[in-house]
Amino acid sequence: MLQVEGLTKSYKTGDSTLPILKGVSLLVEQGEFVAIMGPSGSGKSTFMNMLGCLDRPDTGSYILDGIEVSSLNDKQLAYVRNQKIGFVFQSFNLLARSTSLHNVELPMMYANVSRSERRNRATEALKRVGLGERMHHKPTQLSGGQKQRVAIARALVNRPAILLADEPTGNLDSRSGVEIMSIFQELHAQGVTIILVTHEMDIAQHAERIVTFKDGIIIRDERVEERVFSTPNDEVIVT
Amino acid sequence: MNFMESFYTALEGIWANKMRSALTMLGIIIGITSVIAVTALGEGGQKAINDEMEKFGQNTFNVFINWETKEKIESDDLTIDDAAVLGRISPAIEYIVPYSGTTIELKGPKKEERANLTATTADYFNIQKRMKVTKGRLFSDTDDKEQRAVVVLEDKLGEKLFGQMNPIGQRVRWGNNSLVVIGTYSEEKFKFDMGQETFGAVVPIQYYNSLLEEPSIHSFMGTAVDKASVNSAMQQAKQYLTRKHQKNDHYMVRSMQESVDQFNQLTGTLTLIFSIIAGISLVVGGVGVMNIMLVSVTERTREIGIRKALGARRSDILIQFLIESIIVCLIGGLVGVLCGLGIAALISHFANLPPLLSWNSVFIAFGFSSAIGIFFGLYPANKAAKLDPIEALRYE
Ligand SMILES: Nc1ncnc2c1ncn2[C@@H]1O[C@H](COP(=O)(O)OP(=O)(O)OP(=O)(O)O)[C@@H](O)[C@H]1O
Ligand SMILES: [Mg+2]
Repeated sequence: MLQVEGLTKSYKTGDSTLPILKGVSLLVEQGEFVAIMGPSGSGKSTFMNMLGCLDRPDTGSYILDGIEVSSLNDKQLAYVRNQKIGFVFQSFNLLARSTSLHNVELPMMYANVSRSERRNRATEALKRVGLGERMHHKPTQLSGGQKQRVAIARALVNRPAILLADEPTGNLDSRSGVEIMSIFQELHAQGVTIILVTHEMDIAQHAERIVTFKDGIIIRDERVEERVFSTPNDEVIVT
Repeated sequence: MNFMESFYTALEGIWANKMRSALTMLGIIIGITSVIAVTALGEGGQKAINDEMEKFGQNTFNVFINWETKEKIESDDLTIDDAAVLGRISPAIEYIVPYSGTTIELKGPKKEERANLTATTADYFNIQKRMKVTKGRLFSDTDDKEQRAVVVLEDKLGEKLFGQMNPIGQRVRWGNNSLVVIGTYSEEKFKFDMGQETFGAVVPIQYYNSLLEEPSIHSFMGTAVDKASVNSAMQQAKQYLTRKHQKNDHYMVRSMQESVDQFNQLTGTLTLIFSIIAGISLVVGGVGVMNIMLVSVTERTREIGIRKALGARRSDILIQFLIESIIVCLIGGLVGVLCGLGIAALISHFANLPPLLSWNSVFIAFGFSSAIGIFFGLYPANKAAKLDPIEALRYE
């Protein structure tokens, strides 16, 4: 499904190059729900950006859904971002001037989906994240949790192979965070592959597997023993 | 993303920044307005002149003494007989008359007035199609041959000299001479003789010459039988006079058409020069568009990042911004065309020119404004398209 081998990335600051990722390898199977943790500055976001094809690695290979991504040109990368990847950002990244509906339609516009189908699929996706009533609201008229749900609807609307989320609950209060996690779990139950970055253990425990970064390498990769389950109506179930 | 979607997206971008878009358009509006106004006025002026000329005497020509000749100029280089003979023998010539003109003071019972005196033969009235008899009659060949002291007055001059009195049969004084008014005429003026103060009086040339110590004729005025014959008529006149007077380069002929052509050339050049100046303001407007587009790209870096993260290709972003700049320029162009035509109409109204909608310049203006939109929009649009997605997303 997703296979990363020996990924490295360094940033030039002034005349010194700072290695951020120092050979990261990771295998994620279809339908898995993975949480990435680690201290600040350990390279989690850098890694996620590589997975999301927003940034290119220096060396290493990255195979997504059978495609060797590091060999793709600009246009092909745009296609992969559009069709294979759904990305949820900590800061939502919605178009401020557009309604929820238009924001969710956007990825389909770049996929040349017809107007009416776009409308239908966007409406459906918004209903799926519980925002059927907020379709014509602009981001400024939505709460943080609602904004993030619009972003999730947008990420899912082209039926991507994988859903990437970099601290999706980072800007939310704990209640909204739990709501978002319940949506992720529901999506996971429907078979969506998810990789999520978080600082909070109780968020991470919603996943099946936790990968820990430190100083640009993976130091731990383990199954979650005590999974947390959240339901949309806010009850937290611990098993 | 297909074209219509890009178009809507671009419209949204423009609408979201109404004020800024309007200010950007202003530069284009001013440029296009001046180009359109200048060319419309230029072409309008030319058309007016040509129309006038169609109406009156497109077949007319004049014969003069060549002022640059090395040969001695004498008072009998052009004679009344020459004109008469030419009229008889030259098949291309319809009418040809001797012509002398001067400014004189005419004294009537009411007051003394300045007048443009024309001394000529009766056929003059056949050449000057603009002149219409309003009272009495024009003078005849007999009046001319007998050297009768008669005069035909322009009706406005008659009013000035005689007031309410009927001038026909009355006398006017010119120095020591007394002339009988036999008729009055009205003359449809060229549209461009604005506010002329002096009016005309026509007398038989034989009478006029009889008053002079050494009569001499200024020029001949003639018409050809048709438009195609103007050149041969002029050649025949010139050849005849040259042969008759045994000269070489003594005579000069000039058709009304040549004068009009020369005028057209002049106004054409002027229009071109003004258009170039106006065009420069258009380029300045274009630079304004580029400037604002660059600001817009910088301001919307994050939006571009989001679009790229969601799968927008370079070409999608490029087209979005390019369409935006083209739309701004086209709207500016449209407003500019309307303003330009408005200004041209206003000026032509006050300058008494017929207004002219020049489709050429409208198409050129639209072509120009979209070209400017593309040319000055391309660099900012390309800059937007080339943005790195992750850097654009990080932009604050
Ligand atoms: N464009 C850049 N130029 C230079 N250094 C960068 C750049 N982007 C990231 N870095 C550096 O790379 C390191 C890793 O950053 P990254 O954002 O991946 O960390 P993180 O694990 O996501 O941290 P956090 O948990 O705080 O989000 C940081 O030290 C950061 O300073
Ligand atoms: Mg981070």
